[in-house]
Amino acid sequence: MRWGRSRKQARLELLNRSDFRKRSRSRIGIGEGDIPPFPLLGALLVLGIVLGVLHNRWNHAGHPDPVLAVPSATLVPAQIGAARVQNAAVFSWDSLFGARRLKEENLRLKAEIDRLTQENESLTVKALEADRLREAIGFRRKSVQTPIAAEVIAWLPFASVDTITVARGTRDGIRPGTIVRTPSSLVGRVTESGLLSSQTLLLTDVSSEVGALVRRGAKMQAIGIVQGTGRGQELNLKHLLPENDVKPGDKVYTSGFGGIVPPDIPIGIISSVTEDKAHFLKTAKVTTLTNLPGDLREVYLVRSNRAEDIFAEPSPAPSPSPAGSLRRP
Amino acid sequence: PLGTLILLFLAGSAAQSTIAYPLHYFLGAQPDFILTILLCAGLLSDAATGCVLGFIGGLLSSALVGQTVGTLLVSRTVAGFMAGRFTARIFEANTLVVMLGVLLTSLAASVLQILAAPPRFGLAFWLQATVGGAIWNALISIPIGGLLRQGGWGGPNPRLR
Repeated sequence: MRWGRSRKQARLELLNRSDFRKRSRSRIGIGEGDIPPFPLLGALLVLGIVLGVLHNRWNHAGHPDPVLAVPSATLVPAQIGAARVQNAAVFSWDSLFGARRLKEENLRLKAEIDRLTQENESLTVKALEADRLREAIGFRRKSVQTPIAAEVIAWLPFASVDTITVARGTRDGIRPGTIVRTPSSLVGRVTESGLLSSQTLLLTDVSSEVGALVRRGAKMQAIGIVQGTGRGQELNLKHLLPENDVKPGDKVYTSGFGGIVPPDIPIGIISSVTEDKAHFLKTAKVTTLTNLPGDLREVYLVRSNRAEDIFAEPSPAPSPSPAGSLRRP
Repeated sequence: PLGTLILLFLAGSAAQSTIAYPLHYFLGAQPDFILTILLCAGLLSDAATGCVLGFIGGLLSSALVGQTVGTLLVSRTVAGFMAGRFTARIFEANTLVVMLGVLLTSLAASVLQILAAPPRFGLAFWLQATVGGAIWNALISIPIGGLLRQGGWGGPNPRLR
């Protein structure tokens, strides 16, 4: 019978095919027979814990982690390539569908340039006058260092920690503790430096704290500490005294009292004030000036804690990238 | 197969740096490309390979974030090991099993992480990030698993025959 023969043949063929597949394409891997998995797991766990402890020690001592240097340097070219593709895509999208917004932004920026040009002229006169006075009373002129421009190549790779990666590392003299800023506001500080890239802990991370002062116009209203909340652009300004006259709209700057962060870098604007009568303290919510991390494409790294650094002419960006931006909804 | 894995790890690291953050607008959580690649490769191989890949994945993640190095290394190594055991002992690896395996081992990796470092924004936020992240990982495991199979990973498991 044709049917019976066919079924038998088909079964044989299936068995042969399965056997062939089994022989020709066995599972890839180290093989549990070659290396027992449990001792291997134990050894890798111990190695992981040791590397974690060493990383923390190196980090506290301000040294770069030599173990992470290799994977970090290997990943940088891929990260730069991906960041540029993403920037180009966002830029193209904005160009195609954001013409009206770009036109409005262009008009606003032109007005801003006019205002800043006038302000710059008046400040230049004042700076020259200050220099003359310094010389007259015998103050030593402090050296001015140029901030380093850096391209942002990673935005919050993991949700648990607010970090970005910048394409500058120990090769450019960047060390943990270096301050990261945009021309208009503080961004954070470098926590980890590899050869070609550095990780920056953003101001918005819960473990970020920076000394701050509140100003209304030119008058200082209060001093306190700004801490990240990990929730978008919102920061907490804490340790304000009950008598401090602080209200929404006041501007918040770095105080520079800790000696690590330079003074007078803008942080944000106060959005609300809460009075804690039980503890005789006030706290305020502060909104950052820059959309962190969505608007960051290029940043400046300030290597020393001297105030002069931040007023120096910034060096050109390492490579031009489209001015597109990602925005939080 | 090794070349496919290296390329996938490089592409996954680049994706983690750039598109993972914008993707958090959906599901309120972001995918972990590196974890998914190592879990898929673990599911398509064995426990010993899984834990070695987990360790490498932990190193790559640590290099990206620069923090919680020990926690990442330990959680990824254990997750890779579990993935390897999952299909080497219990199930034959097909697309659905790989998806389910990635979902479960992603959740396990998150639990291991909070054992070492408590959640920073409360349990509700952690649950949202963990469950959302695991669903993301399960979804992206379909193309990643397919690419790994194309690259020569997988095949029948002799233990289950």
